[in-house]
Amino acid sequence: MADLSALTAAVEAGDQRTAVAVTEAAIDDGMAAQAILDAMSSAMEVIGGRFQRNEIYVPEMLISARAMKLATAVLEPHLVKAGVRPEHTAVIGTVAGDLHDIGKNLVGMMWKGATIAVVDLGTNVPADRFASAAVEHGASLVGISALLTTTMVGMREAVAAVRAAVPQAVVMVGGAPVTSEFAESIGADGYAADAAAAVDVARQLLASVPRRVAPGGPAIDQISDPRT
Amino acid sequence: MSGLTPRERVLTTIRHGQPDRVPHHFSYTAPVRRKLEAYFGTLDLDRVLDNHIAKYKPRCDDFLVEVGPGLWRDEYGVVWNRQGDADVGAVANCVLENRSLDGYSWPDPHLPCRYDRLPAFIDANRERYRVVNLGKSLFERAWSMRGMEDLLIDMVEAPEWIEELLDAITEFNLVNIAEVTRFDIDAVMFGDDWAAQRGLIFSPELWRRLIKPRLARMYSAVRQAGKTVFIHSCGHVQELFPELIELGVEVFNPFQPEVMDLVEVKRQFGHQLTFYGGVSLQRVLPFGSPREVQEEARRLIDEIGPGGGYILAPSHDMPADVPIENIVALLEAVHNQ
Repeated sequence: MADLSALTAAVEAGDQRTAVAVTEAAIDDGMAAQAILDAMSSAMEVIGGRFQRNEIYVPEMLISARAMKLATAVLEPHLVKAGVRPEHTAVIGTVAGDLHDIGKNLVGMMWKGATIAVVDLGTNVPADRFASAAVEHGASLVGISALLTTTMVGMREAVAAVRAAVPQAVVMVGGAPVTSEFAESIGADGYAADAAAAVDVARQLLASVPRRVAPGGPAIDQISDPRT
Repeated sequence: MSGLTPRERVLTTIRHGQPDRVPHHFSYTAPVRRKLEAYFGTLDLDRVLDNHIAKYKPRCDDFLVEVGPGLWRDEYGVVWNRQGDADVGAVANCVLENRSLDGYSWPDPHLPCRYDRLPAFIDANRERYRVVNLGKSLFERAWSMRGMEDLLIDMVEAPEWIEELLDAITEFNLVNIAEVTRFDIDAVMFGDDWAAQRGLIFSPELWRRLIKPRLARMYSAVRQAGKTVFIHSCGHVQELFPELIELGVEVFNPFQPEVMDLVEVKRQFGHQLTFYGGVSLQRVLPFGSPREVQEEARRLIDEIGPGGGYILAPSHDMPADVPIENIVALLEAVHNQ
């Protein structure tokens, strides 16, 4: 039988070749798709912890996320066949007027690592686009990012639009100038200071939200990124 | 008021002497420039803001060319999407698709148009501290050309390639440095953001291997020419201060109050570094009242100013959300020391 601890180790190390090879072997051995996925997401949890403790930095996080992405692509048809659906779908984007996406991309990667399906709306996303995408994808989580104080204030409108369209969705905000006080003042449910914390906060907040995946909703690795 | 010129005030503070008052410099983005020009009824904002520093960028007029609505291509081939942000923008293309410089041709660092306005700049700013600004001086130039995520991954997976790329950028800058330091300027200011709000973007080990040796070459070229080294590096970068001091940095900008304890940093490093910045652009300048701005400025003057080593400034170019009244309040505070 394939060794799933080797898969976890490969994702932690960002070793994409081994991650894909072990995933393929595990599939060949008939191991449960869910168990294979869990082996990868537990690696990303370790990565998140290391990032928060400054043991690793953004490059290592990117490399691990890429290893998981490639291995998940191999696994995807088997997840579908086994009826494994992500428990939650997130819509994420950078607020209107703001073109910065690195922080937002990191949060999206880490959410995927936590087996949340992520629909990435890209940058410069109008408030009503967050709302309509949340409805369209049955999102239980919406992430709104801003780098600038000048655009951060537009988050208030985006939060309100999502609230009106999907009252039960959890709305999180983040970005360099954003603080938990600001998040609270604009009616967001949560704030995280970095991509690893964004996973912890999302998990806590989603624990009280019923599993909501629209029929035919996105798979784990779906991403609608205007850059691609 | 004593007879110190703005330049003398800055020179004094960088030598860790106590000037007659804390020198200051207010820089601004394009939307704020327009508001200030209208408010003061003049295009000479350095005069009305009593700015102590004059900055020169060794660039030709065609450094940026508009290639589409809101899209500007710089001389390196990087296209910046400036829709919504007229001052910087976001990278909209990828100049280096592969881990290779094959087929890429660098702009010419020797172009006379980079330097031919320096004599007039110097003449016009005799009483100000004169700085040549080399923005995007290493890591930032590299990520703008290769893409941030690919560059960060390359730094771990293909460090030899990154060394080749950073060496090429360094060679370009060394020509700039050799050219500009022949003139009567005071300092060269490098710009390279290595950190985010909570910490370094990449590990200190990678910084030591990939960035630091190239900084050593550039900074020592500036120092050998008898000029002062400024570094602008945003974010939570203070763990690098001892090594920046070792490399000969004398002035650190932007001195962001959101990411470092200014008083503690000054206590620890203030005998070796001059701090330039300190007025929050994430808090008090955009969101505070004029009175709060004055209180913050007074606190900085009282707590950071003593003993020199301080140039008061907003922690970056002021963006569009900073009210004019707050800028006027800040100016009053520095004038009423």
